[in-house]
Amino acid sequence: MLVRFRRRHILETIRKYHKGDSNEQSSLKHQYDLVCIGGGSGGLAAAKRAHLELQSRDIQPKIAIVDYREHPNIVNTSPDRPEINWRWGLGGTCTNVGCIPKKIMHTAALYGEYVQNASEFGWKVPSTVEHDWESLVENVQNHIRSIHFGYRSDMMLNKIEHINARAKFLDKHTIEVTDAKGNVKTITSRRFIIAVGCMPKYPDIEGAKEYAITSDELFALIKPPNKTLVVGASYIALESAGYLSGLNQKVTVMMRSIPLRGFDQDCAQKIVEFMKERGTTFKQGCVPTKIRKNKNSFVVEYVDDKNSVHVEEYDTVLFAVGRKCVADELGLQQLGVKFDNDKIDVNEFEQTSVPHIYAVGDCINRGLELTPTAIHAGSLLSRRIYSEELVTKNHKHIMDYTNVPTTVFTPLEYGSCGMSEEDTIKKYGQDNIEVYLIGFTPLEHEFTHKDTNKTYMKVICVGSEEKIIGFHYLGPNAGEITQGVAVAIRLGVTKHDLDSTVGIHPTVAEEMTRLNITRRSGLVAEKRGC
Amino acid sequence: MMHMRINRIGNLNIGKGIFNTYKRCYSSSKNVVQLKNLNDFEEQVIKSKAPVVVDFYADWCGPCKNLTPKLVGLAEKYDGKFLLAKVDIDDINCTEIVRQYEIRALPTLVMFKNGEPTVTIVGDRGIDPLESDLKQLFD
Repeated sequence: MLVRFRRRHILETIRKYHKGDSNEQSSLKHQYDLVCIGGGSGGLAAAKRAHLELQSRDIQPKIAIVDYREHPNIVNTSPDRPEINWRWGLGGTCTNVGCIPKKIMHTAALYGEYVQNASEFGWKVPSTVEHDWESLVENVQNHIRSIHFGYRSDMMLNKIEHINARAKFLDKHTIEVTDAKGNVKTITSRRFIIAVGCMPKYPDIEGAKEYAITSDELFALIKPPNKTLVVGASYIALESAGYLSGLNQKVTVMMRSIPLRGFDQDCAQKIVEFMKERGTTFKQGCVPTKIRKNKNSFVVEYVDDKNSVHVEEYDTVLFAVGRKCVADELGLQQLGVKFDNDKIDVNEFEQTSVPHIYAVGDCINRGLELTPTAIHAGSLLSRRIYSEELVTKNHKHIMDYTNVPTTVFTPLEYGSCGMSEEDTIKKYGQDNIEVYLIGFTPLEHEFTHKDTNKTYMKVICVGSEEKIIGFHYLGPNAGEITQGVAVAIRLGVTKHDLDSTVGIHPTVAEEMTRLNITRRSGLVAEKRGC
Repeated sequence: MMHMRINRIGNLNIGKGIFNTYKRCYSSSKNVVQLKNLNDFEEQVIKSKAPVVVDFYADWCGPCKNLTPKLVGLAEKYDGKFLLAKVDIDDINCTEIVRQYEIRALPTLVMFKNGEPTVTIVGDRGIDPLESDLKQLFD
């Protein structure tokens, strides 16, 4: 009964908020029905869905995507920055400088591992195999451009206009767009969706902007980074350090305190230990204070946790110290749009404090900064606004930001869904949760005698029915395994459900069907044999 | 692979090196033309008396790099029987051509006879099917 009341309330609220968000009469004079500012995961999903909904109502929609990014070398004009082969296109951070190139590079590093172990499986592979960085970067960039083309043809076919220019609000329904050549145009729209995302931060130290790079440039470096200092403890820092190491670059990671803040720390520590064993140097408790140039390399001054100053030389310095939202450059504050620190403040309908201006993705103060979150939210948003019929019954209208699964593609991959162990203890108390864990070795690793007992799985339960509120997995194919578990968690899976499921053999995933060692028992959680 | 070696020897920028290779090898032939814009397309393709094969390609497309030299070879072999007109889909002046023919994948070949598109081929299927399609075009 309560559920039905809530659903009816939501449907009414949706109608009230979206349908009446702007003056119906004034909409007749706007050039566009919808303008998405930002052509990334969120913007594209919202625009495509809006087009779909309006078309199905036989309305010819006028939709535009305004997307623009300056070439990094223009922003930092020092000739000492490394040469890059970089071109921005539709697809946002994910396609250009995020998920896509990252996953390809991670896979490239994995192939290196397979090649090294291949002789155990009978392949006649030379004992040393070299890696050609230039070749990898060229192929990665070509692939990114093919994705740009795919989006461009999508836009053309859907008649969604792609405006390659920088936007700035002049008033509540008007934006000014300036392209790379300086041509300026004014555009009006009934509704806007802001999906401009974030950009990497540079620390405020001497030499950072002139000599260092961020993830923006990493996938386009023409020459290999060689001896690299990665500054940061984020998943971006660890993933980058991970695959650079795997691609035969000499890598040091420098972090102020703990790795992967906000993630399960038990797993974060295991990831770092794994990387250390693979040859990545870690300087924990250290902070860089200055970067200067010395012929062809960069000299970094840093302090450790005892305040002693050290100096070391690197070929490349990569900062991965956080990302800042770029929505403040749009002129939204003057219109009365409220911000929450640097992010746009939105309600549960992704609506800003100005009713007809919406926002999704990394630039809002909700949810994790992930592509699928932006896509899902953007698509739901457009459906709420433009769909004639709000689908009833089991359909979700509002974005649910809880229990979103993620995977960190470090050399020891980490998949998780739900809460970290620390958060469950904080919320429920140590006595009210049960943590099941197991460390083991996949068959393939046993066979090659590599990485024994590095794979790890942990399930956190609460209550007498042992409902699963956290799933954590460290090992190969983390993303593939975690995705299925995410569905189960959404359906309220319990420990008993897992135990009653028959495992697939021989896999690592089957361990989830026979977890029986708890942290409480204090027993050693390591498997030997089958 | 040839393009890769040229890049390393000459220390050229990636992409630019490949483009220069294209220009160097193929711009001198009278059977091959690089279309600059929609007007160019109207003049050289629609108004052409001889059949025209329009090759939609991109610098970053691997199969395109395989196909275009084969087409140039065939244009030389059947000297004067057809014109090979190339369209770089990344060229901003050619956007309208790409839009009109709804190019969604690369490489795409559109064969024209008397100003009308006859056959559209997507992808590189090898030289024999290509040659037989071409012969049908101008016979």
